[in-house]
Amino acid sequence: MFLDSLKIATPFLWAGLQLTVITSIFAILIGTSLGLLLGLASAYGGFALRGIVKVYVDIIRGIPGLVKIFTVFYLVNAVLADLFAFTLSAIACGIFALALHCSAQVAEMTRGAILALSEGQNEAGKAIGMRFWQIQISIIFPQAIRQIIPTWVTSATEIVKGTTLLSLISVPEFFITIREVAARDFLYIEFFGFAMLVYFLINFALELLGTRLERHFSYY
Amino acid sequence: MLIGLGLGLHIALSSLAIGLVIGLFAAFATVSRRLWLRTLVRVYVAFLRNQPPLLLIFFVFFVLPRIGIRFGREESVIAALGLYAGAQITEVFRAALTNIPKGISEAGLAIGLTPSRTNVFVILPVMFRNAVPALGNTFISIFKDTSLAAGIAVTELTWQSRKISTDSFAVLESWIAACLLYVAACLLIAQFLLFIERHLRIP
Repeated sequence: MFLDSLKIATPFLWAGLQLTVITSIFAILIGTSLGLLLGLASAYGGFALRGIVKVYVDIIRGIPGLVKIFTVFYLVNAVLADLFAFTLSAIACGIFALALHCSAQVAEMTRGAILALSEGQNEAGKAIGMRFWQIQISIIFPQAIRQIIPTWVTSATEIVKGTTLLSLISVPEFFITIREVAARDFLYIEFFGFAMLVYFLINFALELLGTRLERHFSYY
Repeated sequence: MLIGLGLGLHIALSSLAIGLVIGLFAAFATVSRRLWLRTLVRVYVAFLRNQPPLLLIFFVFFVLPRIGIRFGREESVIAALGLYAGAQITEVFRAALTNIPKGISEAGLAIGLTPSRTNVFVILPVMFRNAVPALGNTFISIFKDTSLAAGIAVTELTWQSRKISTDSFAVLESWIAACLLYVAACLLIAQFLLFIERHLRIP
């Protein structure tokens, strides 16, 4: 019974799962790059820059993910429609909101990891005549990344969990397709159990990947 | 909206209470001698921690009634978030427990307490004080997760602001107000937790 309807629903669920994975990847990539820049800014920036990043991080982290998604979806779209007469699609809003969330987390961990390294590392780089970005890339980054990876993986799993919230602004991702299929075939327990298993496998795989990466980057 | 905020806090506190009870028993189970108990807890933590909380809420509210377990809207959220928090708090307590030096439990045994009394009177307070900072973080994240209750139409802050914004078209005001309220609540809770933390720190 369950297997039959699972077989029928497979293309539908597969499309939803792909959308979940794609939104997660985009949100994580955009959020991580923005977060790294913000983290660098708050570790090396002047007083004003540090303050701005701190306020940004505090605000973004204080707003729950769902509220961020609704705010972007309703408020930012309303403002955009007023000013430029165009609106973002629900998926774009979702990716944007999740990326904001990710960027605040990454900014915080980058700052922490850089400040945890001793001042001597920077000075050593300067002493052998390296430029700022050279120091960052070949001295600071390899050491900081080891610190960052475990927390970064946790935020990545949080983003994957966060994609379920997009179902509330009717993005056709995995959770909404599961709900539709479960309601159509009246197989609630089976399909919800299946969804739990899928999310568990995705996040567990991410965790395993994190441990692999951690080992890979601790070669010094 | 303020009523919604209060409801959110109420849900968060109730879930925290459930999570603390689960976490307490589960953490002691992780150091138990019985293999099946340790495996059970490990499976619970690994499975629940990796679930999206929204899925858990929908599961409790829409799916459990089909096998005869029926909760109201708020209770569903509390049960779901409580289970979710339980998994995280188990990890927090387990870390706090393994950080306690062995000498402390030996000291308890040396003054003639039975092993179970050593656990309750000696280990438990130390573990709890070790765990306070991480527990605070867990509480804030549960509080933020109460916004998901809007998904099953519990009338908390997120649902209220969505209703106001769609009813009166005051989109700008309602969402800015919601964001400000959440940020203010989180900062206040964080300050309060910092105060408790300083108060309870092991000298």
